[in-house]
Amino acid sequence: MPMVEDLSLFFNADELAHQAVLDNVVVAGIFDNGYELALGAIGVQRPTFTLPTAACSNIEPGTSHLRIPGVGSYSVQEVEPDGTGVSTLRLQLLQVEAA
Amino acid sequence: MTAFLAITDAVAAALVGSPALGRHGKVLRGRRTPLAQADQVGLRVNAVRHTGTGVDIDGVTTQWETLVVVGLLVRALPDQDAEAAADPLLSDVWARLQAVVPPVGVTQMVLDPVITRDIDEADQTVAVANFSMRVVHLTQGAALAA
Repeated sequence: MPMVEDLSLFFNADELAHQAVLDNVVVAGIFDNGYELALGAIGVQRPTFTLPTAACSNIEPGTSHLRIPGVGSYSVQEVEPDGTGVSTLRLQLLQVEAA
Repeated sequence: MTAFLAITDAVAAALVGSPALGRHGKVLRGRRTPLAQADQVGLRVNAVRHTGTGVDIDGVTTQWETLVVVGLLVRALPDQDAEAAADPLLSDVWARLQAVVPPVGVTQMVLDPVITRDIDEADQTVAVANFSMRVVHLTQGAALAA
């Protein structure tokens, strides 16, 4: 019998995860927004949202939106499944939201 | 002051002059400082190579070719692509570089008709465009001054 992992343990909004709205559907995932140097010369943030692949199967990169209350609204640029049931969304900032 | 510093001074001065290039744009010479997240555009002026050759029998005069690179750094607005974001400044920088006042000792300033560009996607789309200028100039004896 194949093992089915309970990913909800990793995406618990009471712990590290954020609750967000992905194309009008509430999802839980881990938001990262670290500083990086782009093109060796430009300071940027690299926002990503990591969540169960099953929660983002209908995403259309370039069209789908993710809103994280108190953080901001983002457009989804790319979906990167890791092959284990978890995907990372690459985001681009649309609007900052007051905490 | 060496002739090298005088050349990058002249290039930076042409870019700093009024009217300022771009809102919040900063022109930095001799820096690798990243474009701050609060800034939409920025310009960097850096000498990257000086190649000298002796031009007389006594070896007193050296002719140099100094390569100066001007980097245009741009941060696009949401829903704006990199080409559209860089476009207004691209022609302004080109025009300013054509109008650099050569410092003493310079015999030729050529703005290479090559612009290299690159794009990256982060929280915003960002882009760089690099211009290069070849400057031929002379120094005398053991000094690097013009």
